[in-house]
Amino acid sequence: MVNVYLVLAYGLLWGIFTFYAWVIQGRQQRLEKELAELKRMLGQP
Amino acid sequence: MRKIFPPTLHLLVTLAWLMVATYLIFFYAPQEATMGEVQRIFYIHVASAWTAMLAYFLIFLGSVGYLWKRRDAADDFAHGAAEVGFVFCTCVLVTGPLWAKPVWGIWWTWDARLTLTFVLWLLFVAYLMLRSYVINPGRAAVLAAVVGIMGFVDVPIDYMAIRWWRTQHPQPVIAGGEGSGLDPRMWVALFVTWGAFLCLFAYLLRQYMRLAALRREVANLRRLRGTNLGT
Repeated sequence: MVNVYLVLAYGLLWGIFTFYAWVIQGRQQRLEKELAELKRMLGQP
Repeated sequence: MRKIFPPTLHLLVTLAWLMVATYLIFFYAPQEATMGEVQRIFYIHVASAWTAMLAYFLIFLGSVGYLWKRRDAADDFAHGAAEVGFVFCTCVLVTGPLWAKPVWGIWWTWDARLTLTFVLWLLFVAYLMLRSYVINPGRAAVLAAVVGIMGFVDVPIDYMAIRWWRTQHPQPVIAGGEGSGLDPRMWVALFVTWGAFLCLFAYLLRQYMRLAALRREVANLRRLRGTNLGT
């Protein structure tokens, strides 16, 4: 018999970290895009 | 650091370590006699709590470093430790009630340990909100450093709460004196899990530091662009 509380605890832990990793990756990608755009406007390599 | 231990390798090591920890928790550590299967929450709950407390200690160090030397890297380090520490502290407050309900019959009670851990979570929130709401970056860094230093008072009191006062939360099984202790296999599972969480913490902190570096570079180029447009 699977313990519901145990499954919930491990599932939520996995969910919280996956969500945070997704958020931080999204923020990095937006900044990288903006950086490339700014460099292009300023004529930097 | 990026050359010796690149982020991709760091991520792979973290994932492998987490897999080993999961194996030890479910297949190596023995089942606890009175609580049964649900006691296995203990490993992630305690490891998250220790990591969250360590994160606040790192905020404290970064804040002292920033106020002393006024280096942006120290501020970024403290800010990153706050963000990742907040995630770990949230995990403590999620896994705790999920363990408490089947064992105590209640989700939550306002005893010293639980209340002080909730206060720690609120301190992480206060630190991060301050960073968001104060527009001037230099002023935000100074104010956040003050919160980071003053808030650290909560950490040793939170750690000692179950030693100083009678609480609903169990008395310490680690460094708790006579009569406390764990099965040796439980020790192994707990410390391997904590090691995996520290590795994950370090990986996420590195990602945050990369984010902070990008943010500063973008801000500099925006300023440069503004100057160019003005001339």
